[in-house]
Amino acid sequence: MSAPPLKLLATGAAIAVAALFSLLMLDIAVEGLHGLLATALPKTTTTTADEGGVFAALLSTVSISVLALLTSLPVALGCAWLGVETLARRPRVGTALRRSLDVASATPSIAIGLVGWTLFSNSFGLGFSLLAGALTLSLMIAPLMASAFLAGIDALPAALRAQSLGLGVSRWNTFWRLLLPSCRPAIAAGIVLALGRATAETACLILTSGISTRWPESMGDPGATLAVHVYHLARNVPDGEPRAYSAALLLVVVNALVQVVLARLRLGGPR
Amino acid sequence: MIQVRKLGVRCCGAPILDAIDLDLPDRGIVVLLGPSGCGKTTLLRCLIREDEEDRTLLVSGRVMLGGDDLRDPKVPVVRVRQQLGLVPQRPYPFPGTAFENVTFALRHTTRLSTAEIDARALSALQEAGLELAHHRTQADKLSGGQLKRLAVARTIALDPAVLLMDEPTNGLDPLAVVRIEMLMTSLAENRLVVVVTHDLHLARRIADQVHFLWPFPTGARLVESGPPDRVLESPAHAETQLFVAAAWNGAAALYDEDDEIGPLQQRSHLRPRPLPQSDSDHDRIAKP
Repeated sequence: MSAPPLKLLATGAAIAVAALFSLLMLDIAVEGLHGLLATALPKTTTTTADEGGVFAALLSTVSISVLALLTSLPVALGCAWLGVETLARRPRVGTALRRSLDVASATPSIAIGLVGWTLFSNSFGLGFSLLAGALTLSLMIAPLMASAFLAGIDALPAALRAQSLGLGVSRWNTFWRLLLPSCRPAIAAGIVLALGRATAETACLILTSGISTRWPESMGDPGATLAVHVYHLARNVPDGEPRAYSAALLLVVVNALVQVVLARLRLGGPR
Repeated sequence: MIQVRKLGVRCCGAPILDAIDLDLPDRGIVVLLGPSGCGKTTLLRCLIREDEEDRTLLVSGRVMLGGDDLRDPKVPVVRVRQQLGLVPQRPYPFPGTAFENVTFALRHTTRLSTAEIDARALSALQEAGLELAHHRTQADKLSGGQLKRLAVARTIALDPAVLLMDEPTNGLDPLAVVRIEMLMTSLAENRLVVVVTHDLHLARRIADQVHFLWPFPTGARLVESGPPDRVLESPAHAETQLFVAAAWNGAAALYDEDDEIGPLQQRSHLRPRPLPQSDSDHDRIAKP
């Protein structure tokens, strides 16, 4: 195929994708606003989620996502550190670690949900709770973040690490103070990706944090995140579709806000 | 004085360096010469144990400094790299300003106060000749010559006893070369500066001592050492003669008086492509 038709095809495909995405967002926005105006706003905190209140689901979403992030971030950073060091000193082990992370990142969430249900809900006795849901989510997003961090570090010139070590700076300080700050965009992208996946997750949370429509009072209580709440309203509640749309709109807005905040993170040079 | 004893390096089984013995003085400029790929950079890397980051390299031998064998695993590698500072061939800027680049290693390898670190960084930048106006410039915005100076400042801020410079003038314009040259000369007043270069003119101007490495099938060996006037003007060994003649006379050095390739050049790894002698020769080469 000659260049101009190929360019035309690529432009057409890009416009089609953009248009499709815009229509999707428009549909969620229109239906969601309609649902919010009709039902949710007047009774956000006083009523159960089935009747349109979304604050309980919003609180559950924030609690589960933040706790999952807090528990998985150190693990992901540790994996990234191991990945960098093992690849430099034991290339075969380093490559095996990276492939394992890739496989773990692609594991279906329902499988991780089953593991979380068995491990946290049953073995640790956490039952259906926000804590069990958060820990299960952290299992899911830790490899995703570690892979993103490693991809960012791999994109840096190898000379950066070598020249820092050549000055006598320790491996840990080189990793923590030079490599990580040098690939901040990749770290922010990894966190956004992970948070996006965590807030949108339903399968593994239905098995671990449950589909409770009540206001959670502690991390030991069950609670439905916005995504689970959307699923619940759409599937289990009669005439719940408008409210499902409003919750979906809120979910999109929360995700967009997280992305904007992380994209605006601007930190200085090496610390 | 640094004493290198029987330093041998193999990479994936292939010999790189073959039992190098080298005595380096306390101060002055020592230039390591040799053809590309003969192992000069590898030699510098082994002096600061950078080979420990590269599992493909197998290193043997000793590097003695002040009674310590720097290659002994019991000697902390951080201490080795504080005593022997390497300025890499292609310095890479760390994120941040030139000043932050210099303070980075100071902050993470010493216990100096912030004021002391700042003072040492400023002094190193001045000694390296990086103008004050560039101290707050983002390091990745510096020119090639300025970046080399920054790399020197990063290293001398740690006050190493020995400065190892890998092709410090490579890719620089003549004026920048002269500046780096003057910098090396001033740095060598109170420390040893080991310079790896291919530039014989530079070596003749700055070196107190020249060592010539040549690659052999069993690995590179030092074939000639001595003051630059003798080694570069009247080399005693065939390999040095060839290298020096090539530097001074270009391609003509590869042919003897009868336009035949000399005996040394008949080694496969040295044989040059035949120059076209006539139109028919040219056609033959152009259409293999």
